[in-house]
Amino acid sequence: MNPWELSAFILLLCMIPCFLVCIRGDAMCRLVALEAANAMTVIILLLLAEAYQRVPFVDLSLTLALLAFGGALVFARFFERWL
Amino acid sequence: MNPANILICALLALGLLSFLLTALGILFIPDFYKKIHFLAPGSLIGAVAIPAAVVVHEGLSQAGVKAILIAILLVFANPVSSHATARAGRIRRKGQWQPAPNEQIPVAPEENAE
Repeated sequence: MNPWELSAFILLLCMIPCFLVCIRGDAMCRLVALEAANAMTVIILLLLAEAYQRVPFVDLSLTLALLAFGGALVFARFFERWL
Repeated sequence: MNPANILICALLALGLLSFLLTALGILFIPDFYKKIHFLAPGSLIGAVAIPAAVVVHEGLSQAGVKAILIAILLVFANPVSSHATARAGRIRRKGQWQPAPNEQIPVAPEENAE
């Protein structure tokens, strides 16, 4: 197990609190936990692409970073009044 | 173990610690506005340290440049989405973003110049 895989595993454990808040909190707390989990997932994908030496998979991480940003903004906009 | 490996492990440990702080803050801080503050260490320190470790390992190859792009993207996205989330929470609770006419907004006391 190289350091990249180990880091990805520890980061995966860090997502468990986000999951717990996502299933128990009120609506806005869930949105915050979702944003934290998005950032962690971006880094996990980067670490796994590095661990298995698959350079094209870094694109997945880059795409998720862009889409998660847009998704968080759209969620925040709709949580203002309509959800 | 050469110096590059030590640097990589140190950067990875720094990033993991900041993400751990994010996770603990999200789990244990009850207030929504205070919870938003704990998005910052993971998305600022962690999202710079771990791509920096990738850049140290790979050099400025294709993966390295993309890691730099990811770091820039996360660092700029975090303040924007934090502000949007806090604004959405306030509008959801109070009905509007602007303060109500007789609402007292607590401000920090000004520090004395001396």
